[in-house]
Amino acid sequence: MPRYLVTFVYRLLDFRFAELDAILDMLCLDPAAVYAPSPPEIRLNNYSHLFVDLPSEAVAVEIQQRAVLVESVLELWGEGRTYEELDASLLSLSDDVLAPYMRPKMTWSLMVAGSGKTLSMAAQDTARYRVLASIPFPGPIQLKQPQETFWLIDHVANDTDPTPDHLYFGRAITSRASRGRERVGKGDLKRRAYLGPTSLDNELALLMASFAQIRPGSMVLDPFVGTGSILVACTQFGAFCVGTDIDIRVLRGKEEGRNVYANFTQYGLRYPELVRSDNALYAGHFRQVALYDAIVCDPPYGIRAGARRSGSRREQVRPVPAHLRADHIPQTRPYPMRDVLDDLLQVASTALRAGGRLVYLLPCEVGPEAGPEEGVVPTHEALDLVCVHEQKLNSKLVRKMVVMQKGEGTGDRGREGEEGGREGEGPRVKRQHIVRE
Amino acid sequence: MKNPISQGKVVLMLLVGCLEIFSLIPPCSRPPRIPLNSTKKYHQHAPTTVVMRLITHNMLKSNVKGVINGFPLRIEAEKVEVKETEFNSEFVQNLLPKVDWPALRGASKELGMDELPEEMDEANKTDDSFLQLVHKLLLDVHVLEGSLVCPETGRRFPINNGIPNMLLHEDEVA
Repeated sequence: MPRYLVTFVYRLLDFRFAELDAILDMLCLDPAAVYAPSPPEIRLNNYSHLFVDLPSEAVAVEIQQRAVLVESVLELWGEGRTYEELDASLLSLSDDVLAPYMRPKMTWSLMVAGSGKTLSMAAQDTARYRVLASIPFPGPIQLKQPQETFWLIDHVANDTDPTPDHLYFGRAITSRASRGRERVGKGDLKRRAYLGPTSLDNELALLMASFAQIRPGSMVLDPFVGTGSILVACTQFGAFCVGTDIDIRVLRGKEEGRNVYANFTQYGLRYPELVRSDNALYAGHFRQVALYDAIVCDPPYGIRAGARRSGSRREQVRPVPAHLRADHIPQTRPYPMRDVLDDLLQVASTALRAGGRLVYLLPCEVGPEAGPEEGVVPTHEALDLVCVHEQKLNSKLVRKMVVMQKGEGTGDRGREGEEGGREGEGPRVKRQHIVRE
Repeated sequence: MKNPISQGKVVLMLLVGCLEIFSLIPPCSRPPRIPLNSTKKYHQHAPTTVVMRLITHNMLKSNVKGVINGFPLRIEAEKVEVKETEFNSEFVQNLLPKVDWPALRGASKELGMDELPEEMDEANKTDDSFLQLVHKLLLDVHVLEGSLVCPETGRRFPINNGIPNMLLHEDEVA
């Protein structure tokens, strides 16, 4: 298997390896086999790059196109502690590897990068000519959009690095594929047509789409769609999206060109299906079918927007007079966070196909008891917890991304819980504490 | 002795004078700056026609208090449009087992679209022309304005701007 070098961006450190895991899992690859060439400490120390064995270049391209937190994927050609060792490993490259790049018409460029140190222009040039002595590419040099880009990375280890100082030489996959990372800037909220007070950051939305393993043709539901940030990210990966929300104002938008659909027009994406409905009554609004491949959402927690559910706050509901029914604005009442999550998990257990994923965000207070997932993240008998990752918001608050997967063949169990109803007996959803009720 | 015209009045008169002078200066020829929060430049294409697809109709049901089944909803469409979208046979094949066939058949009849066979047989599921027909009905038929009507109570759920409003009045919540 060809060896590749994956480098990460220095962002959202807790999510970097997990995103790669999710993508490998989606491609039906065993992460253990893929990570085999890297020392195991790499994960523990959140190391900025790692070596992987990938079965084919197509997989490398997929990772490059998909992963939001991957800077680049290089096909590793040679390495060594010194330039002499690097030369030796480059000279021992087989002709099969080299032949496609020795065409006299291939345009190319060679970039030199320091990792853990800065290289002056002069030092970069010296390094460049050093390497080119071993691999003389005959084609013309072209810095703007060359057909192939090669990288020389001069890496200096810091105290926690498990790998020693090293030189790496490789061919970038980027020249054949757009980078998934580019989506982050392209979809930046600053230029989004329609925003609300709780529109989700684009990078996180894309990351959620990766964790939800969305691929072309996936059916995705966001039951708290709001301004549609999450569905914009999911549609980019080819999903067919359905969004529901109880708030008609946010769905309807302000004016022509400032509504949820405008965000999809802006990026030339397929429109989602929008329905105004109440997630607390999902089973009433929608037929019970395991329709969705993924449910991805950022539920309202009352920090910036409070949740509502249909119904009256009064004990005795006043009937709506017949002549006013047509224009009547239905009343809503507060929706406690405990119930929001109960209902979300219940919906996921029935509406997801077996193996489908639920990805949602959960803000938690930083505290001595926060840390282990038990007790903080609600559980459901039909859903297996895949992983939980944290993004620090401020000194007191973290945002957890919870990834759950519907177990294979647990469709019936989910339905049993459904019959139990909201106030049903038995520990349908177990949880000890959730912040900000 | 103090002047009867107070200092405040003098300042006020000066200000009014300044304003008058400024109003005489011709307006700047530079185009007006687009405010940062303006979204106009991002939305210069044709206005969005927003629609409900039949796949959504196939999933929605009425849950007014007392309703037993509430499915399928009747469609009272004021404006229907067929807009061709990219066909993906695998996607439609995956969708087929989840679709309620009689409901789709009924909806297609109500909208005066193509006739669908009464039953879907195994041969149909791999037949490309059949799948294309299903694709057209589920994803390309767009209801712009109209209502969905509960088959049991006759409660109307309006579709405005392509968004069905399924929310119940407070006295209809079970």
